[in-house]
Amino acid sequence: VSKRKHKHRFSPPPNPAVTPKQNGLKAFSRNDFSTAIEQWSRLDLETEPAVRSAMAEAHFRRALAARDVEQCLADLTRSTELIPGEGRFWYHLGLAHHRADQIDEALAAYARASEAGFSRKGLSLVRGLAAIEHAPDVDMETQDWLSPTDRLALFPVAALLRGKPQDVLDSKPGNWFDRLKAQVTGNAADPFSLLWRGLALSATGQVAEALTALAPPGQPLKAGAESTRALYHAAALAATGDQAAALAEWTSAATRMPTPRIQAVAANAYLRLARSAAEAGQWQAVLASTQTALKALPGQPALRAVELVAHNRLAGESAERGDWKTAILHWQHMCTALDEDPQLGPITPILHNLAIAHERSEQWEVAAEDWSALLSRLPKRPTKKSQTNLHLPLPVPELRAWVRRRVLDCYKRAGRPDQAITHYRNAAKANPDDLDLRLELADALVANDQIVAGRNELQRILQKDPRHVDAHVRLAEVHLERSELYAAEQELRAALETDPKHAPAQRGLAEILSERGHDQFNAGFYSQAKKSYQEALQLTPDDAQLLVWLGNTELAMTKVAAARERFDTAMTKGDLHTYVAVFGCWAQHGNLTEARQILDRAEAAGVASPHFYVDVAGECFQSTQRSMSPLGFPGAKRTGDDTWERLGREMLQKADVGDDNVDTLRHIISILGPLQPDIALEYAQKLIRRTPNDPVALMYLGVLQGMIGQRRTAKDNLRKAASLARKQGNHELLEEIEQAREVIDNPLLGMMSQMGIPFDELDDEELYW
Amino acid sequence: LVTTPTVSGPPLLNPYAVLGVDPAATPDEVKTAYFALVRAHPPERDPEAFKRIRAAYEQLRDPEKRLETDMLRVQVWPEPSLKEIFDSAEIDPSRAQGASIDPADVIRAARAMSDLGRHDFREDYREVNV
Repeated sequence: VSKRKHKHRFSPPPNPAVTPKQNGLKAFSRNDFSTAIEQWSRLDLETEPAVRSAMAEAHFRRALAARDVEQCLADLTRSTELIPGEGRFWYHLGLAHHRADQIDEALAAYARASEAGFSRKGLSLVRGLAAIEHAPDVDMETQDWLSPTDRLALFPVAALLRGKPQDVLDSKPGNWFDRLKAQVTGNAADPFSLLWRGLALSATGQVAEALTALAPPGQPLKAGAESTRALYHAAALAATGDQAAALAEWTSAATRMPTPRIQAVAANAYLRLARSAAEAGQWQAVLASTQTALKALPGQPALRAVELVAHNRLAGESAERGDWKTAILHWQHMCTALDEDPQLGPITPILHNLAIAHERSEQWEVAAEDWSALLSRLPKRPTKKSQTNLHLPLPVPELRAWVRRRVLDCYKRAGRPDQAITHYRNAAKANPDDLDLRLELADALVANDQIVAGRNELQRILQKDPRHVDAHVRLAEVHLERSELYAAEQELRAALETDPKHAPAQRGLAEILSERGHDQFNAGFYSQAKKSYQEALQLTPDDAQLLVWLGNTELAMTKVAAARERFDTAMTKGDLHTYVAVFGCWAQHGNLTEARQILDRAEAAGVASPHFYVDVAGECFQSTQRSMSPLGFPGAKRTGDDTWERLGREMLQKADVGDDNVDTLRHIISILGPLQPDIALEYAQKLIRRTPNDPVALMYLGVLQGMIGQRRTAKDNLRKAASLARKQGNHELLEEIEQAREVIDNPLLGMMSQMGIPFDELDDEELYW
Repeated sequence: LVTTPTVSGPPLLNPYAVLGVDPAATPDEVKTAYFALVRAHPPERDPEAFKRIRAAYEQLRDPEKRLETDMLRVQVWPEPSLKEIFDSAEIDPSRAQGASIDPADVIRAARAMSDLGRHDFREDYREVNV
């Protein structure tokens, strides 16, 4: 059996011992026309008329078996070239051109067939049809090659193509219909005759009669005619108002005879149905009708698109009411469709939504797979936001990192922290030279707290490609996590050697250098500190904070003019916080004139908001403390009087705090609380007058009272705050209040207040808001 | 302000909708919207609304929480234009339904009554003899 199969599937090679003529004949006899043509082509066809004839036959048969129109036309043309007098070759060449809608060429070929004496009865009909397709107004009476029968048969076709259906219906004696009936079939129910009549009735608006004429005939029509009949019969049904029957007939016809025309008509009918449902917001009905339609018309892109929109709307509605189970089903349908045909739209938003839905349903492992699928479809390099098709606030590298962490987090929640690593390990094993993938593995290891394994993987990447910038940067991050600053610095410098403009590497190195600068400054090594800050500034020249640090260092080196210049530059690049920081530097150095100038400049620049004055007041009070400045630098010389305290109070007045300004009141409490609890207390009392039942305000008040020694009142207020928080069900706040109560009871509160410890939590004015 | 009760899981709170701000709102804009809402719904008078408002603000006030909130927002899928799809299905309703006759339908039917509708022409084959 296998040998026989083999024979059929693979033609044996031509036997070199046998002549090409015989080889060709053998090939021809087993219908291997290509080999026959190839073998016979080696012969001189001029001296071998039999071979020439056989070759023409081989081209002819290959043409008739061909699916490709161009191949078919080429072979038939070759047959006519080899034997120009063979009418059947011309006839079939005419048919092939005709089918390809090349009507001029078809007419020419039919004429040659006729000249060659080809006597097939069908020649007159197809030639006549080509003639009226070419020009519906052609006078068929003058075409002497057209048989009388065919002339009659083509009359209604020409009339319909001319847009004159009434001619078809003309029933006076001797008309085409009666004559044809008499001459051809003698049967009034001839299906083609009825079809033309039905079409003419349709076109003239005689719907009831058209319905009868176009009813399914006893003798079925050929496919092309049947699809036309069904199409117009259903149209007549629709015109009588029976849309359901029309839709059923179109659907049935489209299933039986899937021509583009009937499919488009049926699809349009479903789309009209879907439109009414969509306009009524009935997305379930839209989905039902498109799904029914797609069973019969699977290749209709418009229906597919509407189905996806229905799924999308239903998923959105379900998600909005928390029905994640249903939302998942819809989004899964969408994912499958978008995966199969990316032309229908981007898949990334749906993968993202599926991941969220699975997370909300606590299906952590599936959610991890969704995130992972999303990750695999995100660009690997920074790119335009639109290319991700996601409206997320992160650029591509950070987005990839976030999604990666999510994959790991979901696997962890699923109790499978190893799964993500396994996932990446397998992928990296399969593609050991894909360094991006290995980078993903390293990231996964690090994110899973397998720091050493992650570091080893990064080092392996660098062994393969010592200039891999991302690997250097990641390795630097690993070192930074372990406070290995020197090693981190080396990696970042290596990264910048390859890509001097690599922004994360620049930022990372600038941060390390700034840290070093702080240490050097705090140790009193101002020159070294300045050098470190300067190098950092070269990497991030627009960093206003760095300029302030540099200026402050120069101030410490008594290079006042240079410092002033730095501060000027910083203020052109920074915001209100830069003005505050510069003010703080001058305040720390006790330079009231310069500090006031900064105030003037901030006011002129329009950044002096109430919050600004509060922050400046904080700097004033800070400068009176013995602790370090807000920048972390050692305090400088003191004025020895209450100048700064007075300026601080002046600033608070400028903040223009009315009782209504709850926001500013809170800001004052958070800024002054650790520095001047007595002053902060005044504002806490104002806040309470404004919001007497606010547990947060009561807590502020209680803590401040505790700090200045009013323990009993403090405890009362904290108790009230706790009671209100309990009523509101705010357990987080309740816990904070309990902690504050414990602090109040602590005999070391006075010392802690000096150090600002109780207010660490309160520094964030909005902690509870 | 928020979504309807759950069926199979908690709904996603849309803090931007609760506070009535754009997702691109600055922290100051978020804060302003929050305080305005708190003034309108003080906790002592409207504790439920206040709870929702505070929960929404909680999600947006802290940059890290806001990032998390933004990252977990249901993404909008760019839908194809239904109007265009539906309109193209009704460019010529009468023709789409076949009330007027499409010449291509007539030609297709006419071709079916001729040799153009045939596929088997073995009768036209000839023997070869080389």
